[in-house]
Amino acid sequence: MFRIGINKLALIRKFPVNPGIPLLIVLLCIVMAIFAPYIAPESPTKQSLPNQFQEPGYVDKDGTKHYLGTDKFGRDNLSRIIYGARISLVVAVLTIIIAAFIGTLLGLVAGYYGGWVDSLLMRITDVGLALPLILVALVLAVVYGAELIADLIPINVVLVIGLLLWPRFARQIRGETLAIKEQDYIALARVAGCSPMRIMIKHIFPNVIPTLLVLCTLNVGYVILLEASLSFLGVGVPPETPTWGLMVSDGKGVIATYWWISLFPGLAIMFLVLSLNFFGDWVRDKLDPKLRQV
Amino acid sequence: MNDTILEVKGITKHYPIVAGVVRTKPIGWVKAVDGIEFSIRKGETFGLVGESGCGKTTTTKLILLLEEATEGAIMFRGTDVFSIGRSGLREYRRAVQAVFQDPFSSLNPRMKVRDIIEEPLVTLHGFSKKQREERIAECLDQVGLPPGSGSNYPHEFSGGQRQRIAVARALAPNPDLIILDEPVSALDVSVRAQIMNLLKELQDRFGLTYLMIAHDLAVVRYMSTRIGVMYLGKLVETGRSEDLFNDPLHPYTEALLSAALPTHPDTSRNEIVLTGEVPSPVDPPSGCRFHPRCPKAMDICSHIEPVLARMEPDREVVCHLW
Repeated sequence: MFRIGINKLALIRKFPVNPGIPLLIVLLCIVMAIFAPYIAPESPTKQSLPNQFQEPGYVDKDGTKHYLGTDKFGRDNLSRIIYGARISLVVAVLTIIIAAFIGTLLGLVAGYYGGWVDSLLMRITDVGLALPLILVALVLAVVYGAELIADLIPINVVLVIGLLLWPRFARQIRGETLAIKEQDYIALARVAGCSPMRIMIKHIFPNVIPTLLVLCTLNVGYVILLEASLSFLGVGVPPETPTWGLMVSDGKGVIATYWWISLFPGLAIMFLVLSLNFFGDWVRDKLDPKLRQV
Repeated sequence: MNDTILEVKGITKHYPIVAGVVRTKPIGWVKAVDGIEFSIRKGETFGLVGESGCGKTTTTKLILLLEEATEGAIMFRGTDVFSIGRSGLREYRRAVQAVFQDPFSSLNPRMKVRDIIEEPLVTLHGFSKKQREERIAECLDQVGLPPGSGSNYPHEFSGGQRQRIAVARALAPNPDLIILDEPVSALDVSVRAQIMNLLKELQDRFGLTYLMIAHDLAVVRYMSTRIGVMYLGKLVETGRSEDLFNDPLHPYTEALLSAALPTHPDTSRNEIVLTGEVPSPVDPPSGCRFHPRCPKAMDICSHIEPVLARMEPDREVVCHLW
């Protein structure tokens, strides 16, 4: 009896993080985004005034079933959610690429060279970390307007979030670089005549990749949330674009009566972000149990 | 003059101790290495011994140009290495390689053994891919590793094997001088002899010169032709290995040797037990640095710094007794 009790306790303390379900949800979103035109029952922008505010499960005159109902212009909610995955993921991926690139570069340089280079770069990073992200993004997005490249990439949103997010990467990569720099193999690389550039690329960078991966997965969720917030606030993407944040915003005035307009895209955001966070935690545990979250 | 390969001339390294929040200014200096002079001849092994914190490792870092010296000069084959140009530096890097103590931290965990050994060839030699492949195979063979081990990662090897990889890498650019910073002290006793014999064998085969640092006196005695004893950032005595072991001149050397375990348990010995701690290199004692702990200290020791006395051609000691 006693032994069983101990085992149960251990089980509770070390809650098993299984990446299976989160991974499945993330993959589902990716598939939805890529194959949206084939999966979605209707065009996300097709308006139909007779079908305004229909509840989930409504079948219209043409015999199309609207599984998640329709919005105030009679657009199919499900189709818009499926297409919305595209914007969310495109923004997430591009933003993370920009932020990771700038952050890693500056983090490596600051950590390796130290001295005034480090001080300068880290003070800039501090400023970056101190900026209220949503506010700045809001201002910049309003100033530069909503522009969609190839109907898919809200370029201003991507740039704004990317340029605001890199300090998180730079800070962590710098710390990691400082630790790696003290290893003997770095000294030996210098003895072997390696240039600082070669040391950073060949010796330090490969050793920060695990940290970088964890940072990426943990920040993807954050970026999606940020994009949704900006869309909700009505900046960044043109109003007719199907994005989850904008859909939640569209339904907020009528949430008491036509709850499905806001609820389903909201759930989509929640599940995707939650899954990404679980997945990120799992990656972190797998790669480096010592890593602390910023 | 038999051919001196490396000459260390009054080299000094002082690390600042900084204070202040906004404007940091040095409030003192850690005198890690304080005016060391010695020279290493071609083909010999020069052993540097001393307690931890006496500046042995800093000395090697200065020679390897990993740290900038505060004062002094290092002459390599007659040229000052602190003021050689780009191509001179390249040649110096080729000619001087190193093996460090910890074989776990000295090999990049994300590089294959082949790439680790190849690196100095890429940066220092204009070798073609094929020449490099041949050289890697050669080096692996010379240190006694199986030819196929190039495609493995360091973590797949044991400590002794990893140290062999480190030796192979140092060997790759065909150096003249290899700095061995405690090359065997992190290894199991059973593996030590193997690595020491390997190093000796390589020295005979390729006419290598070694500068070896160790705190294990048995290791130093076995490996070195000449030995320098360091105390608190200064060299107190140098001499041929057998002379120094048989007849230590400096009281510190005497105490150091007496602290080592004899090779046979029945050998009687008079251990000289030093009192007190090693003083701080921030504020070293006046006069002779060893005087507060020296069993043979005299009045003069506490206020006048002894000068170097050349006893025999190969024997130097810094002590008022001589």
